[in-house]
Amino acid sequence: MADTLEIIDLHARIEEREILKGLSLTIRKGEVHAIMGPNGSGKSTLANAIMGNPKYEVTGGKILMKGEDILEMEVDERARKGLFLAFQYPCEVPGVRQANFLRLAVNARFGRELDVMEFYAKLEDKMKFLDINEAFMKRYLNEGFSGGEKKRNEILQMMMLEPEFAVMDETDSGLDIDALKVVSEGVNKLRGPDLGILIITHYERILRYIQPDFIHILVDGKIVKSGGRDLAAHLEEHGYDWITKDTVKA
Amino acid sequence: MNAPAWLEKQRDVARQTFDRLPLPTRRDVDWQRFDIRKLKLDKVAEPALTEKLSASPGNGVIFCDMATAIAKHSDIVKEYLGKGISPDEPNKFNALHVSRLNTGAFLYVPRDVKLTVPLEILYTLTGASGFPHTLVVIEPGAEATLVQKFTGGPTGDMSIHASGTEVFVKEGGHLHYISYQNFNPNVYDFTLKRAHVARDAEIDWVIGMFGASFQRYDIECVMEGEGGNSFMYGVGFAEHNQQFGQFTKQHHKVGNTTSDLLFKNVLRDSAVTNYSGTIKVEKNANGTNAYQSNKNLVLSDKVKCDTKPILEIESNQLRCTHGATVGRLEEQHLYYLRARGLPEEQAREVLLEAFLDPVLARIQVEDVYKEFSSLIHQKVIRK
Repeated sequence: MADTLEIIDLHARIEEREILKGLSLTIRKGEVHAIMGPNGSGKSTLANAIMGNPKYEVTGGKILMKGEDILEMEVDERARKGLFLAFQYPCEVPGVRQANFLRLAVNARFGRELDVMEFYAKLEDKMKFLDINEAFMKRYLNEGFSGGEKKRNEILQMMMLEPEFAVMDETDSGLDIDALKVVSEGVNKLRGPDLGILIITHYERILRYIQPDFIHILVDGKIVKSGGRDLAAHLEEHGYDWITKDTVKA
Repeated sequence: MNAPAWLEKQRDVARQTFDRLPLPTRRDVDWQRFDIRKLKLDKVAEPALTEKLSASPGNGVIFCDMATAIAKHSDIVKEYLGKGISPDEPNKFNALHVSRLNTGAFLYVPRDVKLTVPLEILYTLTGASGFPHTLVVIEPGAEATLVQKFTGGPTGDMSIHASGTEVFVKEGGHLHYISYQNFNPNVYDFTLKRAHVARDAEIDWVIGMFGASFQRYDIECVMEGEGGNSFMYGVGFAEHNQQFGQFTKQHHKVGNTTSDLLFKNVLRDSAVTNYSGTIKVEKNANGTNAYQSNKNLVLSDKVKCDTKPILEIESNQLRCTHGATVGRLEEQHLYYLRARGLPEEQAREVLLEAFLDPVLARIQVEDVYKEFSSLIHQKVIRK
């Protein structure tokens, strides 16, 4: 309980349209789960509902993080408690300098003013690992970044904030193979007993670099199949049609 | 001290102009947005304003207060004073300021002298009125940075500040000009700034508008020689019942000249801002590049924010763009910052400052950048 993110019978909608129709999933720290699903199955709604995007309305169910109902918390409180969402489309925020933003976020997450030297030492170390060059820190947050740079920046934030549970919303989309490798290496480095990860993806490709412990198939707002890694390979070969037909039959 | 005859003549002309022009009212198109009924000009108090200048750098540079300039450098001052800002312009507040002209500062940078250390003028309004005039002459090939600050104003009664900054940047010269006003409330500020930009000369401006109950700024570049550039940036933060008028003019007298402009305002509470930007391109000024952008961030339903471009274009070979926006904080930006743990209040503050940062980023003087940031930060967090 203290080490889980539990999603229980979650229902959510956006603009009057019900997208999630009773989704349940438990992620323990140390585990990597992947949710795969076709377009429109509810992948992004799930990510946004967990983080608390005000555009999405949760109409039923619970999300417990370490036993606490996070649906009762504001977005920023969830983040400070150790929840992280790697955005599918990280937005550009002109005027906010990267380094300054990261410092504020880190201070908020750890509830104290981090020593400046300590902060920059940590930042440099992570940037090096992700192959991000120094000039990047003086730029405005995501402004004019390529798709790959934005995703790398999400991983950098994740490394700096040391979350306990991380949701990665289609982090692989729009990445070329080199960027995908760097991003995956970042995630693999973070992987460990203190972090539970949920990877949301359309494609099996990222799962070749980040090997999940469990795979779930999301169709029409519900998890219709769960299994091990072999499920991904099967999907790659047969496509989502196979699973949808299968569910309809069942 | 008796003023020289040439100056007394200018003051006379200004006095006559002042008497001739009526006080603007809401019936005047440029004044529709403002309530200046509290302003009384029939009995203007004795001027009370101090000027404090940083040390003159030598090298033939003249940097002194206006009284000294008139007494000791009359020949140079006479050549320029009133040539850029005329005593008989149809502007009642300019006429008021010229008619009382005896304070201010003079900066003269001789040919090819390049100053690396910024020069600073601090004007402090100590009484109910002040009328400083700043005259700047950058000779050919010279370069300088001038920082001008306007502060003070007695608390309690209404006071009036009317000022002029008259700039000449000659062939190949370069002026970096940074200026802000952070008057106390109850100050009514009427300011005209005009720069004449010669061939291959350049001026870059950063103007901060923070204090005063009312301010009307008229800021103009006059492009008089080919290859001339003006980059004009403004930042305003109006709150409570502050009223800010910003009237800019990019005047291209000759072609192959460039003027760029970006003015950004934040409005909160019941603040009023009125931006009006004229681009004037004269008939033979072909090859002109003129750009103008005014962006406003609105934080309350009670503010009044107007923005208007005015194009007076007689040339047909030019590039000209203008744009204006009035908007609120972006929800998705707020969500993104909050998703990284920043509490809502802090996220809003960060985004407010972020909105203005692209203008502040133009300030090349580190200390002055910090001063602008700190003035804005205090307004943002309402200290």
